[in-house]
Amino acid sequence: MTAVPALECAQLHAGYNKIAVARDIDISVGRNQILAVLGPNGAGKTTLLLTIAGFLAPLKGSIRIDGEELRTGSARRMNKAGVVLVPDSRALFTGLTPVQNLKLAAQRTRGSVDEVMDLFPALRLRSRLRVGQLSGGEQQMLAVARALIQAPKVLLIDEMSMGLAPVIVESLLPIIRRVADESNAAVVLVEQHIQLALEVADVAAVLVHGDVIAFGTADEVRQQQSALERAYLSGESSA
Amino acid sequence: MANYLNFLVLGLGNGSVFAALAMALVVTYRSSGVLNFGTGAQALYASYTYALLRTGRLLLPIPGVPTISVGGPMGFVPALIVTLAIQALLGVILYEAVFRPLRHQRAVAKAVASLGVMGLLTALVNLQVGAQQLLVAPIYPQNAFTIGSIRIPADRLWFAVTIVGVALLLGAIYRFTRFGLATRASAESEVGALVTGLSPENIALANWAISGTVAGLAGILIGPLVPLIPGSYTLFIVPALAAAVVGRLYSLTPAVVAGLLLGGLESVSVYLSSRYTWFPSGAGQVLPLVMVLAVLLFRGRPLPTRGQLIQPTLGKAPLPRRILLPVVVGVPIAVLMLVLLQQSFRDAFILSLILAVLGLSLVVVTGYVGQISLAQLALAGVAGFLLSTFAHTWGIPFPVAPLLAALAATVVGVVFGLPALRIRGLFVAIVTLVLAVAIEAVWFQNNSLDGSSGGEPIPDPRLFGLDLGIGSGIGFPRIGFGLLCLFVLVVAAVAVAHLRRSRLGSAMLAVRANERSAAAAGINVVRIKLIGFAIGAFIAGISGCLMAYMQTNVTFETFDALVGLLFFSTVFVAGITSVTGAILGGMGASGGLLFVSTNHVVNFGNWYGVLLGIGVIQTVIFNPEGAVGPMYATLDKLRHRFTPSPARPDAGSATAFAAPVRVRAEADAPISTSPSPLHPGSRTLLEVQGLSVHYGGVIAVNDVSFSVTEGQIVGLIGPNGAGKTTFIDALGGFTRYRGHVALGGRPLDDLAPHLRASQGLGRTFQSIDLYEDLSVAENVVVGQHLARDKGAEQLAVVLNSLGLYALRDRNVGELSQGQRQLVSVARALAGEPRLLLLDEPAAGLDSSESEWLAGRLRDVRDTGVTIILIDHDMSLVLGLCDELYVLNFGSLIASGTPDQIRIDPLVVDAYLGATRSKETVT
Repeated sequence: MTAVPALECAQLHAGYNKIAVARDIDISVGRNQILAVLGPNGAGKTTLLLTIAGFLAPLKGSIRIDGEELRTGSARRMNKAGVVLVPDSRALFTGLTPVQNLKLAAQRTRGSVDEVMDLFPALRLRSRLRVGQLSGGEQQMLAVARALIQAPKVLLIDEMSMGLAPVIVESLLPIIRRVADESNAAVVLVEQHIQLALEVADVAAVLVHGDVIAFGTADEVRQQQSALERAYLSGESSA
Repeated sequence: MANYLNFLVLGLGNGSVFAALAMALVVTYRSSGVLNFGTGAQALYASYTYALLRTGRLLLPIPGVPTISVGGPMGFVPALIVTLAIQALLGVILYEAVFRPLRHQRAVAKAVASLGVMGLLTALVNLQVGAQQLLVAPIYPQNAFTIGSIRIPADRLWFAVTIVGVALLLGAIYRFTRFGLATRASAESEVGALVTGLSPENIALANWAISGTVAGLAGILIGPLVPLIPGSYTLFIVPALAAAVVGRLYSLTPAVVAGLLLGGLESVSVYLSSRYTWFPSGAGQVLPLVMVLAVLLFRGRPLPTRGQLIQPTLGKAPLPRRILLPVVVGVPIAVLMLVLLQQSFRDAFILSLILAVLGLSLVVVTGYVGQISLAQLALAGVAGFLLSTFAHTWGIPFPVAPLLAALAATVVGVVFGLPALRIRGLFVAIVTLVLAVAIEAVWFQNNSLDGSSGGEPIPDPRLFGLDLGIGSGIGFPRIGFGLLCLFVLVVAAVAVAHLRRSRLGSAMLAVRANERSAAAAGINVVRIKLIGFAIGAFIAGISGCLMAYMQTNVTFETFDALVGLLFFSTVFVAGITSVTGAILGGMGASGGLLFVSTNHVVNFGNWYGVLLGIGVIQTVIFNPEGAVGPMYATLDKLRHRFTPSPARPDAGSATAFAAPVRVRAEADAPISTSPSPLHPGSRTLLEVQGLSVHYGGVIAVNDVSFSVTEGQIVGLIGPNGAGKTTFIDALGGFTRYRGHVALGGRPLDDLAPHLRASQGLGRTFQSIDLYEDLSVAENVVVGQHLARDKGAEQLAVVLNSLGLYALRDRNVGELSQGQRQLVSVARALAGEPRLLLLDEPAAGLDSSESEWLAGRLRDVRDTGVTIILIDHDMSLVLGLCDELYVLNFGSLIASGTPDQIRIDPLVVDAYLGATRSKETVT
């Protein structure tokens, strides 16, 4: 069986108002794999993810899901094709309960709320509260759960760590690993926390100033630790 | 007492309609962000559909084929079902054809399109069945219950019960069904809906079908109770709007209660005016105004809106490059036309001149300031009626009386506009429509009907023995009056064109484009809106006086609220952002020269309204600058072709600015003339003590204290979500905070954003927030708002200092990201700030551009401006800043020189994640 990558971006240019923020992105990720997209703030990671998820139309290049090129630029179409985004804002429905949030997402795939809740036992305890009353970590769990219940082919997770204490991020990432192993999904994880991300990821891409400066297995990227730190802390792109 | 209760109960009929339409308004606004002024017209369409079905005819929206037979009169139930189905379909069509294409547009643009829908549907019904009244057989039993001395008519009661039942049903649907949950979910977060696999557009579509059905039901059920006439049904929207506002266009229950209450009170006021002579008739129409104003005063928050990735513009307001030429060419042509045109055509031409003046008032209020005023004709009426009092009753002479009357209209406009102008968005449109209806009902109609049925008399204008009146008999209409109107139009047009080129005009466009960044530039947003509203009301008042002189008496029909809506539509289609548009609007308005002469050739009849409605919708969707827009675009292209791009030797080249450019004038710079940035004895400019910002339960900034020394560049860094922008927002007064901020020893805590700006606090925004309609120079001029006397020279210095001089006449929409960043910095510098807050000025710049920017910022610093810089470009921050502060989770975790920060382990952790993570995982 020749492994067709679940997600493949070729020469993708992503940006707003015709201005490219990320250029010439060639990345791919297979089923049960986690791709960590790393890089300092403002490197274009979120723009890239929004483009893959269809919220922004790519300025150039193509996106393939399971080898099939998709007409891009519609969030609805990408979602239907199995590309599910967990945005950094989480975009939960705070006036509804966690179960209501999940049930709305379960419509097409008939996913089971119970099964997803098994992954996040903490949510089960909170199932009668409104989402607005949950803690930041619990909300993040719900955001991931809401994506999982849609049985995604490609799961895009943007800055899970934003606004969360490191301890909570550390407890969330192993769950993402489990998801990738058990659910047949390809995961793209945008993270600022290099160390944590590299621990769970299979492959990693480093984005600086909108260019991919490194793409390889997590181990290979980890080897370039000092170059990474330079990229983050000095803005040098010669890592 | 019993009488009052009897009338209160009688009002349940109208109250039920208000409640139902308010529900329909809430349903569409909540699901699609559209304030649908056409809801009343949808009910009207349902009324006629139902009434005609009962007679065996089906109403068709196809011109030429008003109705077709359905093979005999239909019974109640089939007619009801067919009508409701048609209404649901109409809702679907409206969403698909009009509002889905507009889904990314601003709420204001959607509301204008719905005015088009309202005009279109009303005119269509008129076109198909005429204005004749249709009799509708009773639907509910005609008996009455009696409780004590109160007599409750069964039909009113059942109507109210039906509507409350519908409200309960809708409430249950939105609360308990999947569809309802999806609607609420999508209303809260469109992004959330999309990533959940929901389709916000399909949800909106279904809600439009529901709102159409509810409006249709109201239209069917009111038919037997209120005579079926197009105008009155369309205006059911006014009290319904007031009721919906009580529910903040979001909650059904308050809207329904308020609707029923309005109906009851309206009925009681009818009783009061029949019983007491001092009680004005028509007072019931004032109740919606009272209700809306009360909501604004007590719960004055903006309506909930939906976040958008990209903010579209409202249509450019083209800069009039030449004013003298159009006047020199236009005036002789107009005079010639006045002389040559005969009788009715001359009459129409004179009316066009007057309406063009009224159109100019819309250009100022809507075109420049971006506020939708539906009361301009009513304000004209205020002046017209007062002119009768001033000139006829009190005998005040000609030029004084109309000026006084226009001033009085200004006062009325400002007093009622004030509560709405404080709040962003749609409230101005709501208040002005409600105001127009109230003024007409309680003032104009009462005055007209009081004495002579011909309206209030107006004496002819006379100046130095010259008769400037319109005359009568053979000479009618006299050329002298036409010249007077032409003179007024020319003065008003030149003034409005000048306004566009003035600093005040730039400030108005800045407010229209983005209230937040306008406030950051030191512009008092509410004041600018009020000035615009006042100027608009004054111009409208003048045109109202001319209308009164033209008619030689004033009647309420001239200033009818619906006529005002039609006129707004006409000017909008012609081009509401330019003087030319106003003049074209005057010509094309009902009764204007273009209208009359076209009507002469092909009989418009009711087609005018239909075409106008379609025109408004297509203008909003395709052509926001209106009919004159393409003309301006062509002129612009020609200008670009024939004038070579200005080339200056210093233009755009980075190396040309080796010498520091002195931006801040020495005179008012309270700092040493030879600033040495790192001089240890320098004074503290900014002092922040214990600053905290809470959003709900989240602490975005937690007890941050620091001080900034004058003449330094200070960097503020930290991971995403660390609270950096929130911190800068707090400094600028854009968000509430606890703690203290002082600039140069002066506390800022009680000051609004524009006042902080005037204290010397300049800033840029992460989103850049330029005024897309304006040129580079105009954008920077807005920033000069605080440096009043500096003028062109300072502008050139600022533009030069950032290498923007050669680009000064380009529209910022055409610039690269890097150039846009520079314009945003230039705009902040033009205000001559003491402290400049830059939020990610290097975002979108490549490394060399970023280095160049660093050089310019150093130059700026060397002129004595202190800078606080947020940026992710670490080479820029580490290379440029004298001192760095690091935020994480809202708290200050480190501070020091760049060299210290570079090696601080806490900072490395915050950026890269804890390197010791393995030890902490259990």
